[in-house]
Amino acid sequence: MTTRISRGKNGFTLAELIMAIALLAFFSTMIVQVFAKAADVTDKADRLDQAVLLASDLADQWKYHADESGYPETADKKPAAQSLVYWYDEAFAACSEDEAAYAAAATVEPGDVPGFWQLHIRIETADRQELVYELTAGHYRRLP
Amino acid sequence: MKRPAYGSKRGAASALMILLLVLLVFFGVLSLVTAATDLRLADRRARANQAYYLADSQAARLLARIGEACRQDEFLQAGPDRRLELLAALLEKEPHVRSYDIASEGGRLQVKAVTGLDGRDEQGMDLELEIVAESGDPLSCRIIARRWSWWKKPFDYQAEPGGVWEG
Repeated sequence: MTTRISRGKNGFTLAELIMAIALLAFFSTMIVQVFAKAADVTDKADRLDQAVLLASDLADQWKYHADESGYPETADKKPAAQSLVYWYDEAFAACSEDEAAYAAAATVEPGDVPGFWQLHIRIETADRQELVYELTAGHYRRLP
Repeated sequence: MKRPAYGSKRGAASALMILLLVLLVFFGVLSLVTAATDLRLADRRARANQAYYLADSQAARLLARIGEACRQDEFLQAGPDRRLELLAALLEKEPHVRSYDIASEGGRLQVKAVTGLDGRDEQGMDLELEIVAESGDPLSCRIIARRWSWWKKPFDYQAEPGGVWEG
């Protein structure tokens, strides 16, 4: 009597499994990089949107609440410097300089016509290495 | 009883792996395309915002120029017709003014002006100002903005490369 042991038709072979897992791991690594890149791009779009909102908010605040020096009434006035810096964290909430991820520099200068002022806003990373967004707004104040 | 051939599971691991890879590639590309579209939209919104504030700034400068002109002695001493001429001469010189219309009514000047951003007729500000100035008194000069609105040429979907899907 002969006993025959043969591999069944059902189920995976070991070689097949090893091959499949190895290839899956290899390609998955590449595809995960695509997901990471997509997340980076989404972060960048989100940051730009937040910066646009922030710059518009600062410009509107300045336009409608500017005092004689051209600065918002609520901000600390530094007429000699002619520029103010506001600090923001990762979520674009106001914070101290030490915790800041972004800096918004607002510079006010008189225009070429009396009574006309211009505000330049630059939103950069806190280390000032990367410009996120910049905006220029104008405002006319009736002269006394 | 013999089992049918399609019952064999040889190659099933490879088939599963290929299916998983196809799914991963599909969702990977989908997320990348969505993120790129988000960024493009954010960029367009950012540029539109800059254009709006620039147009508003140019209109504010025009207002300042009119305010300056209205306090000049020549304007304050002039009669209604001469005031119209002076304002028309000022608006003619302004590079951003695309069109204007000035009228005098009961001692008040009505100025309608349309400004264009960067010398193009694609967007700008639509202004309607009322100027009141007593003869000879610079402090009496008042400018009331009746309309201060942004105008923009309608977006032409047909002419846009990529159509509506490109944003």
